[in-house]
Amino acid sequence: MRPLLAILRKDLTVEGRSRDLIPAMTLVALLLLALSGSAGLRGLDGAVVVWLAVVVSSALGLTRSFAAEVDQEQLHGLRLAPVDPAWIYLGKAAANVVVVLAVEALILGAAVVFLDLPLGGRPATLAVVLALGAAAVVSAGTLLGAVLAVAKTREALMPLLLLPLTAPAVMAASGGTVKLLEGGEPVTGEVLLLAAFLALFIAAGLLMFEYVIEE
Amino acid sequence: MLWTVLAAIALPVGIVLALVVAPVEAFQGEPYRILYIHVPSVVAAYAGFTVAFVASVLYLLRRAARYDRLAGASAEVGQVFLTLVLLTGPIWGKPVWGAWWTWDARLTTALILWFIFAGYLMLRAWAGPAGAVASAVVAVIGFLDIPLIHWSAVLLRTLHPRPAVFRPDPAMPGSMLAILLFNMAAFLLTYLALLRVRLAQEDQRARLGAIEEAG
Repeated sequence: MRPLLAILRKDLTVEGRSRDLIPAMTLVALLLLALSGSAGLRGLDGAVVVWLAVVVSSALGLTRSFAAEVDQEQLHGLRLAPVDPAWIYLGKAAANVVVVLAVEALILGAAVVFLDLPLGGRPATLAVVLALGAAAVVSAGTLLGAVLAVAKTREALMPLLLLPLTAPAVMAASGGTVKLLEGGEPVTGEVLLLAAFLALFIAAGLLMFEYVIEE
Repeated sequence: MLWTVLAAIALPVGIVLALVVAPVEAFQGEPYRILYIHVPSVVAAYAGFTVAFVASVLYLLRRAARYDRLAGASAEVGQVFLTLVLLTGPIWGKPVWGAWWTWDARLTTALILWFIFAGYLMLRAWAGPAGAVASAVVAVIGFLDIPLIHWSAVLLRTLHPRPAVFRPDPAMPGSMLAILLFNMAAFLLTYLALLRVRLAQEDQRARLGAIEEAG
């Protein structure tokens, strides 16, 4: 558990000092909102744009989080540390979840202002869907980010891989969000689907991360 | 060689059975015959992705290049069959449902699976041999999506026919079921024949690469 917290603290400190990821990701997300808003998109449809903005900005942000490690040769340090690589994965994923949740909050606020997004009457369930959706995208993106960074492959591949892999989770999240903002329809199916995807991606990350950072 | 011969015989026989011998369906009429291509293509595609999955897992564990080559070849052939599924589906859907495409759960997730492996193939093309671990990870996560694809047709509301064959009590008349099963076998043989050819290509390329490097 301590390695997880250590890595979580390190990544958040780096982000706090460099203010690298959150501004860049938020700007891209806001641009998507602005483009849809100026094209006339309003109301509940805004929920879909919010989720698109989350996943696209995550695709950009999550590559950066590992690229920095590779650029600065920190991977060797991570490999040599007497720590189960699974904790490294979880620590990085935890830090990325914090980043994405921050961006989500900002986009949600912007959507309310610019797209007349109604907030509906179920804030607790909405928070659950937002959190699960972010976690699902991040758990896949953290693993993919590591994979692409270690392979030194073009970062352009990240959206190409992250979007299809997380698409069902994003569909469940945006569908569920629309239902939540609209009225009283239950979203148990969507929440279960999100939880299932989250479990899948985390399991995959835990199992495969050590093979990914191996040389 | 044997697989190729068997496939070369079974495939045309299967087509003739499908188009001429099979009885006409009560509700859908003649267009239903594309079932005998659509469903076997699904089976062949899944076979391709399953082999790619197993080969990817083995590659992550053992790091033997031939597993990587097998994964790539099998995924590619599987993708060809999945493309066939996505083409024959709408051709069947238009006369029977009145629409080329709907965003029904099963169609959507089949399309997403296609995108996942399109990304996989792009990754392999761009990253080359250095991307072997990366593509193995993508293949594993992509494959593990398949059960969620099958269950999403049950969890979410759907227009696509409920599983009529892949369930405990298949609901098809014996003659149709027999022809369907024959075509499934014929398509699987075709998959194996194509896989052999593709794999031989990759093995040749690897040998050529080794010679170039040595000389």
